[in-house]
Amino acid sequence: MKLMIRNSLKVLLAALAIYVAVIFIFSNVQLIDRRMSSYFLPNMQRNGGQEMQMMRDLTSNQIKYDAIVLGSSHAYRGYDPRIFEQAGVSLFNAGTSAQNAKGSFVLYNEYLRDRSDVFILDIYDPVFELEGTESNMRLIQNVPTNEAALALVQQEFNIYKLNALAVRLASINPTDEAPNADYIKNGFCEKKGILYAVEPLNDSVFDANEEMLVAFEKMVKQMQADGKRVVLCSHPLPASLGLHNYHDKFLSRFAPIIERLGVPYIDFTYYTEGFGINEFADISHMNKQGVELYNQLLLQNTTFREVVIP
Amino acid sequence: MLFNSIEFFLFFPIVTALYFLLPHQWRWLMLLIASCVFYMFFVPAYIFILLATILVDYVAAIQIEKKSKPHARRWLIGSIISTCLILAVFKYFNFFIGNFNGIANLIGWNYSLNTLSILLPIGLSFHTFQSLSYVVEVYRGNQKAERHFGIYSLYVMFYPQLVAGPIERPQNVLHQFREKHSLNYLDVSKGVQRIVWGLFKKVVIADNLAQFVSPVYEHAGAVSWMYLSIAVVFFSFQIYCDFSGYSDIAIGAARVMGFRLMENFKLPYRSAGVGMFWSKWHISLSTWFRDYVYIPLGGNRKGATRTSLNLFIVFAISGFWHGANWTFVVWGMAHGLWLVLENRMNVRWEGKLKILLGTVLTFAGVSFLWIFFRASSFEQAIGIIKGIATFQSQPGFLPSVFVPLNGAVIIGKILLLLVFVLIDRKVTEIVLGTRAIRSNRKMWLLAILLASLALFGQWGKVDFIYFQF
Repeated sequence: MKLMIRNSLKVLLAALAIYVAVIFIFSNVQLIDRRMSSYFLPNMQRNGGQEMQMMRDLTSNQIKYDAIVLGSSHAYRGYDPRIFEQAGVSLFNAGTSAQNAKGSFVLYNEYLRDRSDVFILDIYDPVFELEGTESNMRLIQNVPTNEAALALVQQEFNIYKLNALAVRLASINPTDEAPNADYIKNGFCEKKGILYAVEPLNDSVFDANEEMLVAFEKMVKQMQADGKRVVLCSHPLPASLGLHNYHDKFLSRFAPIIERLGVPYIDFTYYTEGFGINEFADISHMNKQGVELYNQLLLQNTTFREVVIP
Repeated sequence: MLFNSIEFFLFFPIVTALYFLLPHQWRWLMLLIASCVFYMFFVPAYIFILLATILVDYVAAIQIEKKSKPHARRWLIGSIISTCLILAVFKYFNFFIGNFNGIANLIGWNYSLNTLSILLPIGLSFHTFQSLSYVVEVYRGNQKAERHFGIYSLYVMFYPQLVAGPIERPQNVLHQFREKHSLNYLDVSKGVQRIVWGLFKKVVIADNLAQFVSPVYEHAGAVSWMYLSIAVVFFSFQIYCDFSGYSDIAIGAARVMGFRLMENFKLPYRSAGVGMFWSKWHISLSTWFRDYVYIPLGGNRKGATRTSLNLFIVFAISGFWHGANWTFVVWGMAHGLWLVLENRMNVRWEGKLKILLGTVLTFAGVSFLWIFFRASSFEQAIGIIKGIATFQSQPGFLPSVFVPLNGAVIIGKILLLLVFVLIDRKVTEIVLGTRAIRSNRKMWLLAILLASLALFGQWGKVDFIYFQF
């Protein structure tokens, strides 16, 4: 028994030493255009990109914004601060790729709580299906503080997030490996081009990740308890996708939550007026024309104005 | 419960600890309860189907032993029919109905039967075959009928090999449930090494390759011939690492408690010839078909033509055993035909260079036939073969599912596979104990495998392929 315990400990210690050594090498050795970690470690995200640019913009000053947007790429590509500025609204876009409610909640608690009284939560159905590993791993790499990174790992522990945290801690002077050329300002990225072709989407089932729905409700309740005003928005999607079945299923699951929370939901998913292929850059993101049209629609929307510009 | 899940990492040490802590007379009960819990993690209600199989074969075996030959034969046939009936209903009913409807439609008969909306109970083909081997062995007089219902149930349900084998024989396993195993350093050490190696093959190799294979098969018409070719080779290693990894974990988990299960793989891709391949691949199934189908059909005792026919029949049934789809039947028949031709032409690969050539050709042939095994339909398989044969260029844009699979990631996977190919033989031999190695080197090897699980593993993403059978 003693031998068994002694040898097991030896093996575990040796494994730990190998793990630390590999993480250190992978975090600091560059191979062509990126560190080895993003080639070989599953789900590992590149350091930098919109997340890093956004966090730098956010933490470079202490400005209090009239409104902050949270959500996925629909958020950081769908709400242009320049358009809102023209309407007298200072806006910061804290959306990140595939950001889910758990990630949003960490950003809110760590960085955003004192930066605005109004939160626009962009709602995109598939985000409520994902477990959110990819999104949180990007944030773990790019949030400015280790505390926030640790909070993201604690949101839902798994080996990938632990690896991402280890890579973050082991990286010496990490640089922006993947600067986002579309980045404009205040977190916003402008997607160029027009919709090339419509790839049929799986329109059959909305398979909710219950944990995400619970996390979403918890976050909005916290915002309300903090005295924040909250509005939920969804932007239009290409009509030809025929998403009705999918989105209807999402709505039937989501509607009771909205009702319990008592927050307005401005849903433009099925809105088609003025939105053709020229208003979209790809199957789920609007381009410049689309964003202009959508942002104007919001600014003219009575419910939206009541929350954002009281 | 999946072997590559967090639940199993809690389940396994608890069950093992309880096994050694409990007095010997209660161990079978604890193992049986643990096996039920393990199985019920999938679809709880299906435990009743398993129970029905167990009950039928338990009673039948006792009757076979009691009765004279003609009566015993009736009990044997009854047992085989009822066990196969369960398999037929749950696995093949919809297949037959689908084909019936297709033919009816073809001949203009405007009538269609409804299919059943049921899930295939996990591992059904495995435990029904294990159950059948028991009644046949009792009938042949090679095994005494087990009177203890709990012990017999454990023979069918023993959790390490319940859902994907190895398909055991009663002579090898049944007596082990009555033996008293004590905590033994060698067993624990060998068992843990086997589990770690199996997990490495599954989560580091197979599941990393699956990330590329699955989207390519799904979008075969939208990718280049290069992608298709890489996916075909990747799948050969994916299925090997997935299934042999499962077998390693099963054998290792049993070994920790002192049980010895039969070997299921012996480096099958190092085979010069399809005959050799099948003597090293899924050995428990190949020998099952040999003992219970091929030999009763006459084996090689009735001339060359009949031998060839018997081989062909066995492989066709083996294909059908794998799945209720014509793609599996074609896969099985093609292997059967290949083996018949190899035997009839008396193909021999002798000499180093010829063996190497034979190994490469066998791997190429086996990989080619895996296309039918992996494809969800006949059309998909043909599409992939056509895409490769015509050097299909990249049509339009890659589907969005390939966005995370950029060139760098694919190169990473190829490098990972090359590392595996280089170490597979040595590590397998070290883990099996057929290659001597200094103990501190073995410790470092185990440490590297453990660290690799944390660093490169794809955890909880992909089911074991053979679970569907």
